Amino acid sequence: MKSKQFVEQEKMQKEIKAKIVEWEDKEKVSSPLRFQPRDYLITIIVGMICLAMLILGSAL
Amino acid sequence: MKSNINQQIEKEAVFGIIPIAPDQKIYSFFTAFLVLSGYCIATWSYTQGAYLATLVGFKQLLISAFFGAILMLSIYQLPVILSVRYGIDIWIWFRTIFGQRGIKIMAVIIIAINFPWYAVCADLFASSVRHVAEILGIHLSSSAHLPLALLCVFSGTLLAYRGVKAITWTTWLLVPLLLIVGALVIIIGFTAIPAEAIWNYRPDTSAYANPQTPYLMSIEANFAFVITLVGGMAAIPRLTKGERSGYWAGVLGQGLSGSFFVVVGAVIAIATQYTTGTMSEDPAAMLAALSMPTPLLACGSLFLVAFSNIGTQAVGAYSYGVMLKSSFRHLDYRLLIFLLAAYVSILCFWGGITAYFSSFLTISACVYAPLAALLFVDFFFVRKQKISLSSAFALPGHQAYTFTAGINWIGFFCIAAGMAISLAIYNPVSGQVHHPWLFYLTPTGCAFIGTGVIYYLCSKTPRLRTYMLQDRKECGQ
Repeated sequence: MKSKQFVEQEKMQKEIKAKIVEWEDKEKVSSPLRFQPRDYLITIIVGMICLAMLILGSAL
Repeated sequence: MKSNINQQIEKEAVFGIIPIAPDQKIYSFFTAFLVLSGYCIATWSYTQGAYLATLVGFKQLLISAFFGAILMLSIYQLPVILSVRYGIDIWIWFRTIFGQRGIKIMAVIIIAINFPWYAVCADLFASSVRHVAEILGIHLSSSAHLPLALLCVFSGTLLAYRGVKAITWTTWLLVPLLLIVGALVIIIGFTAIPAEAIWNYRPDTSAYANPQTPYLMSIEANFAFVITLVGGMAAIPRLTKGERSGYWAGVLGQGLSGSFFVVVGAVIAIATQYTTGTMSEDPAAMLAALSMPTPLLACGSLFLVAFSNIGTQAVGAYSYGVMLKSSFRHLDYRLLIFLLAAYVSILCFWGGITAYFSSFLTISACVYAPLAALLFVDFFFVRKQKISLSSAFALPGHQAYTFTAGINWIGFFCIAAGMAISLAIYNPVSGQVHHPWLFYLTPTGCAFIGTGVIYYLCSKTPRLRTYMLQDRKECGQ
């Protein structure tokens, strides 16, 4: 006979599996708005500006 | 009722971490920005600001606080896009780096190095209450400090003990409370002394042989300050509708709002030095000194500081309790928060956390920087943005992240290497700089780059690659 803990664990795994399948199905239909190459470029520019300001700050 | 709370926490610990489907996302950029702004303001921001004011003048402080924070955030928060894409927390992704059992060890390490923040909170609570009593004409001796700090820990833990509902209420009250405290601190700080005195402020840094060292230390302190948020950086962005929104909400919420409160802390520290002649790192002492002419304002602001610290303590105990519960499901939630409270209490008994604030920051960053680097390199260059969710949740028949008895030793080796790099450059306890040239990149920066390079090189070594990437078949590669 299966223990209560084992049954609960099995139930939990089934629920998680169902959630993952649901996530995969919905992801195919409408994935969240992706990070585009333009976004990476903006990030690099912001990073460079911050770095330049930190270097300039050392002269103050 | 007791078992009911435990069941609720169990539910939160298990089902709070499963992937959020795209149509269940609730946050726009603006909402996520506001929530994250609230998340990163706590009274310890003032302690950080006061510490920075001992190192650099106000202009350099502004630059290092805002640009230093945004630079570090814009790099290490990039993997937040994985959380938005998969709807999972980064702690699920970390299972691919440390293994199913390894992540439990890592969770304990992270809590051990992060929980001293709550001893800072307890210390601030005790200090605030003592100052309120002083204003009301009741003298509390220094021996009252420890019991008051323990009262803060106890009250916060009691709220966390009462479960999800109590914490939801606490969060609702806490964020406005912290904003009111911030507004009062700004009014007190900026009206206490002329603006030019703040703008032209310069600390005495004659003790440093190299005049650039204090400025570099301030940048390091800001890098370290923001990187300590790595563990909780994805909790909100995983609920945002777009990857761009999730990422920028994190960078700007913490980089602008968080840094603003750090600067406010510096302003009151400078104002206190201007009016009293001594620099304090205790926000409660500073508020008391500056608002003495208006006792009602002093009492009000100190009361708010005191009670916001109880709220922070409660939210911390709850969230880390849930984090531990999701790793150690067989342990009772109440036992876990009791252990957390015991840990903070030991730190309160020691009493040195505020005195060693900068050392504590850098020691934390010693672990956080390699952790952030592993996530960054793993997501972009090793696993190339793809994981197996079935293996990450250890579903039957999916064991790509089991590695060696549940532990990925390469992940742990890289963490150790990153820590060694940081400590080889700078001794956070004695404050000694071992490598002046590498110090220009800051210990946190070097640990981040070094760990990333080592982990990437491991992934390029054929035998190690096979060990690290057992999930490629499941990912369709």
